[in-house]
Amino acid sequence: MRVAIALGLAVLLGATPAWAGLRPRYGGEAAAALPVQKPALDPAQAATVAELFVVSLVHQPPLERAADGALVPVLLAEPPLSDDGGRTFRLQLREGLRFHDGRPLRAADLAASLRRLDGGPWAALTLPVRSLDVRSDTRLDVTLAFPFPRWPEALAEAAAGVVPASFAGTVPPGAGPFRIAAASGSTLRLDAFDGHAAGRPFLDTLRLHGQPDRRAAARLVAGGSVQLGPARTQEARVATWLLLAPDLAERLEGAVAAAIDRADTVRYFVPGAAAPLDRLLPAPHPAPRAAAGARGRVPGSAPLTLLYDPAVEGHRQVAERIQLRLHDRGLQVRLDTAGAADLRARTRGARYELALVQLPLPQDTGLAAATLLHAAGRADAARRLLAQVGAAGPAADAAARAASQALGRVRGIVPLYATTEAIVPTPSSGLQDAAGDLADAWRAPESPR
Amino acid sequence: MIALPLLLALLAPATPASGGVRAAADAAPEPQAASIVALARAIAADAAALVPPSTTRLALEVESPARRLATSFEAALGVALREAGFAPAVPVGDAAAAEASGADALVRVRVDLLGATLAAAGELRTLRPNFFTGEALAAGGPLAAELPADASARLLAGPGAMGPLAIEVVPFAALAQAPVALAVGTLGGTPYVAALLEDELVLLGADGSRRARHPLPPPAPGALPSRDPRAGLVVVSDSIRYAFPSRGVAGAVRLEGDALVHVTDAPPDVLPLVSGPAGVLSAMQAPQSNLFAPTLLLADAASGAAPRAAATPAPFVTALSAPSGGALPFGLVTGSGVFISVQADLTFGTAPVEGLGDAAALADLDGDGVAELLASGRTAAAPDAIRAIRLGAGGGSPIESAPIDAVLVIAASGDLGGGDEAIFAATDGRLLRVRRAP
Repeated sequence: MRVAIALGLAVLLGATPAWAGLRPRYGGEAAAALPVQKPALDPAQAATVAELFVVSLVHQPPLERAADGALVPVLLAEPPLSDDGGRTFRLQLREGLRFHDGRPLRAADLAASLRRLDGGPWAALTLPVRSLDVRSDTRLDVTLAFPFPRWPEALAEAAAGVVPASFAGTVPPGAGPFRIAAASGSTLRLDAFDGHAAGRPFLDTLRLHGQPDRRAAARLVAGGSVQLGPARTQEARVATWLLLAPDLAERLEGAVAAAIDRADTVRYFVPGAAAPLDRLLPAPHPAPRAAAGARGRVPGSAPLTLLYDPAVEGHRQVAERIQLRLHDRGLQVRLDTAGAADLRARTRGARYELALVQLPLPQDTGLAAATLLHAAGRADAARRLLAQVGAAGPAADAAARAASQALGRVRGIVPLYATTEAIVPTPSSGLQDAAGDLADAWRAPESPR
Repeated sequence: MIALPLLLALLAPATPASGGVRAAADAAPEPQAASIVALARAIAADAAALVPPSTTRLALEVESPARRLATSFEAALGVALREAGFAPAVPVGDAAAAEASGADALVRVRVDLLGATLAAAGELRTLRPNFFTGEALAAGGPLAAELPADASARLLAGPGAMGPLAIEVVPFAALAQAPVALAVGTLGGTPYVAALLEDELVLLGADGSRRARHPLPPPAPGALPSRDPRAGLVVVSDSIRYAFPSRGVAGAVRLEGDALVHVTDAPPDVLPLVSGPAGVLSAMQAPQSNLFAPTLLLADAASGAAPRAAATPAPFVTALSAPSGGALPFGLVTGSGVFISVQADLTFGTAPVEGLGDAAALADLDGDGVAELLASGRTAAAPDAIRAIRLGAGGGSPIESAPIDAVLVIAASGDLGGGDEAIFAATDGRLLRVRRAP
């Protein structure tokens, strides 16, 4: 029974906006426009901005990065422990973890997920790993080939999302904040995963609308039917380089580097948000060296083959631009295409002359530099670099300096541009706290009027 | 007829307790007892202990922010002084008028309603020396008494008499992180603020200083974490009870010396939300959310009887309790920001008050017996502000604090020694004290 008590005054506070004081609200939906139709859903293969976005929703790496860069255990019960200065790490999983399909998430799954990185675009993350020792359902011991105290940074990358050791089909079940509830054409419906290790996300559902290109995605955003879409950001998670085969690097690097006009290439040939990359890595790292005679012609050279992946947006145009610019300097270049896996295998095996590659960048500088060297077919150099970075200790600044010095001695890598794009909330999305982890985003309720 | 507890109080030696204020009645007065009369008798007894009633002519000066309360108390005190053996006192306006009246001594008292307490304090001052010896008739001394205010006292000191309500927001303490639950209450008669953090329980004194801490047990295996953890926390029956569902732990601790000592475990899914004179309100969390399910439990903390349950009109985000009880003992704020009043018999009333933020508390700042509603605003970004809304008869415009550069999402109220007030917690760990402005 309700009893109305005498209350003196009707007070309507809702009419005054811009006052704080709400907890996040559970429920509601949001939709995102992706600039690709069907992004890969395998964390080990995610290499584009859209793929990294989707993978970070569906899959869960053992660690996450806080806003201040600190590593936060999510699947792990505690930060990775090392008793020997970063040579071995003990990874202790939380009890009771499960994948979206209900099966338990065990240390063997974590080990298998790390092994799956080998051969993919993120292979450098496990380059220092010598052995993975599953000690129990919840404990994995990792031994590195050399001390590398910052190796746990690899466990915070989306690519380290844990998938079952075995699964049917091509889409591995995840343990991320959202589970794939339905896939229809190029639309994915993701529902909140109640059993997520950091707690159920606030939104009930995310709908991801894959689009044929970024113009179609932009139209969706402009129409107001989605709350998230591609937009320019300050951070670069993906970048493109021109690789020269090691045996050509000494002779041609200077001329090739001098032939490339990064600003014009970005302005006229690269779709989406990008910035010329005049350093080997987006952070302040060594500039590419200018070899003697760099401005001169390169007479008498036999035609070279420039490999590129036509599936990477803009790479065909950029390859043609490079072909033209090198032709102007007397260097004959023939274009050839290769799929992502084939291109990766050929560059890593040093079976190329020139290659246009787009690589995802780990946030740790040492691992990013190793990713670049490994992709260029210099795995040994990548290991040496990681060993030098590891010897610099756990401090991020010292590690970055060591990586920068090591990278400065490498020939045959010409930086082109960094993709400065992310799938982010639109200004009118109404989503709160959506700047970082989308699992923390929530919709503010309408105030009664 | 005078009730026994009151009679015992009147017969008690008229020596002020420590701090110069003594309780006029050790036990709660009977509902029909006039607290003004009882207070006047206590002051009269004090005066009689200071000077001989039979030979001292008194002048009487009573002041109060509430004019009607001053008039009534002056009349009651005049009667009480005569009952104590004094000659009829002469009401005067000030000391000069008292001297001119020919009285031997001046009884000068200020009476006020402080929260739910009716208090009188002042002095007995001799006005003239002995004609023959030149010595003061008596040394004089302080006069002070207090007791719970009854309805008639609150009526006389009602909003109209108390003047406009104004609040002040002052820093209270800074915690390392935002608390997940907050409570105000007394342990061993001393007021404290308890704050439950992610992994510890912190006890703060009335001045905001840290007095004790108690680490929480490790999370229970299988406990489902939350991105916005909610917990229950009350200070009741000299212990602190807590429940932290997303951590899977719950229990009670007691203050022993400077340490909080574990007393017992409890089921973690029933959250004690607020406590007040009418009991402890508890609820369970709605699954996979930070709202509370629409079933409310009210338990009498002292009796240990089984709690009574009632269905609330809607799921809610905040439960509130008036520290002094009164006509509005409990309240709820729904997820959509609407206030629901809750009576001690677990009946609900919807009030035309909406647009409330999630941090809300009830506190009788103006002492009229009906708690004011203090609440944060309603969007997710700083700055915030706290509004005080009079819910009692007479109402009035809501009072709003100056902008606060914080997001306030949790609050609790209690008596920290000066009547009802509230503590608001910001997401950055700051605690702010909200009280009636002087």
